[in-house]
Amino acid sequence: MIKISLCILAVYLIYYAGNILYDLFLKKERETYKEETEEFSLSEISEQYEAFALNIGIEDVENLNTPKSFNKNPIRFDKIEGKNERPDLEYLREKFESEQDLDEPVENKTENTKDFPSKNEDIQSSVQLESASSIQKSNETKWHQMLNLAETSVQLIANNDGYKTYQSTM
Amino acid sequence: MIITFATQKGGTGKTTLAIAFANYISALSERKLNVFDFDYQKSFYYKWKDDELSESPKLYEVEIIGDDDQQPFADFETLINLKDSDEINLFDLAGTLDAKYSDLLIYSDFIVIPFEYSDVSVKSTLVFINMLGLLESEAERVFIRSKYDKGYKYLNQEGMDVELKKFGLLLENPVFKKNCLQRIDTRKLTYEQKYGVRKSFDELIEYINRTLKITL
Repeated sequence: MIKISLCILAVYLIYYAGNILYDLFLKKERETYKEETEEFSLSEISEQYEAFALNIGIEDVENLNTPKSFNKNPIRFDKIEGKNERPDLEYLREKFESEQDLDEPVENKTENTKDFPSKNEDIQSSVQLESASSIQKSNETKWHQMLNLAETSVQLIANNDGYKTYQSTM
Repeated sequence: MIITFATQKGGTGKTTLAIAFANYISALSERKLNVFDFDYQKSFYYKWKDDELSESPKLYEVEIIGDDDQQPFADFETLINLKDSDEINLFDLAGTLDAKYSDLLIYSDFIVIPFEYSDVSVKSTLVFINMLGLLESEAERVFIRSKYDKGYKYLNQEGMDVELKKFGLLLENPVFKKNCLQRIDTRKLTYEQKYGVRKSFDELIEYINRTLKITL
C-alpha cells in the first residue's frame, strides 16, 4: 500500500515539475501572436456629410399632416387671467372641446361623419341607456366607497403569537 | 323567510354549511325549502345537479340567480315576497362581496356567517360586519365557528368572541373540522355528518324560532 502511494506521489511530483518547466521555458517560445489589427478611419465619411449636418434650416422641419379640427394656435389663458373678470364661457367651451378632441380623436371622427338627424335620434335613444348605466355606475361607485370604508374601519388591537384580534371602529 | 349564508372570505365552509343546513332543515321542518345559489361559481347548484344520479330522493330545488342580471332583485317585490313567505328561502352567496348582493343582505332575516380564527378570516368577518352596518341591514347576524379544531388553543378566540358578540349571536357550539363534511351531498346527511353539525344547527334553529316567534 505504501509503495503504491509513494509511486502515485512520485508520478504527481514529476508531472507538476514537468508542467512548471514547460511553463517557464518551452511555452514562451511556442507562443507567437499574430497581430491582426486593422485601422479604420471615419474621417472621410464624416467629411462627406459635414455640410448636411451643419446646415439645418427652419424649413427642414418635417410637416405633419394634421386633421382640420386640430387647433394650431394654442389657446392662451393668461389673456383673461390678467383681468379680474369672470372667464369667458365661450373660451372655456372651446378649450374644453379642444381638449376633448385630443382625448378622444377616434370617437369624434366617427361622430362627425354621421348625419345630423340620425345623430339626434342616437342621442335620444342613448340618453335612456346612459341614465340606466349611470345609475348602475353610481351604485357600484357607492358600493366600492362603502367597502373601502368597511375595510379601513377594522383595527388590530392585539397580536398574540400571530393570532390577531381585531375590532371594528365603526 | 330568508336565511343567507354569507361572508366576505372564501374557503370558510360557507357552501358546505349551507348544504348541511339545507339537508338538516329539510329533514326537520315541514316547510318548503327553496335554495338559491347566488355564487358565481355555482358550487351548490352543480353539487345538486351531480347528485341527480343518486338513488336518494331529492330534498329541495336549487335555483341559480344573478347569473346574467346585474341586479337580480331590481323589481324588489320578489325579494319582499320571499321574505314574507312561510317557506324557507336559503341563499348561498359567493365569498366576495358584490354590489348585486346589497338588497339581499339588507332584507335577509338571518345572515349566517361562518368564520375561522385565522387572522385573515376574522378580519374579513369584521369587514363584512362593517359592510352590513353601512348597508343598514335588517338581518340578524349569526356567527358560526367553522372548521374548529377542538384540540387547538386559538389565542385570539377570547378577544374575537367578545368583539363578535357585539354584533350578533355567536353560536356556542362550533362546527368541528371533520373530513366527513367534505363528502357532503345534497340528498342526505350521514350519521357522522349529522353529528358534526347537529348542536350548532339546533342552536341556530332555536334562535330563529325565538326571534321570529315561529316553529321551523
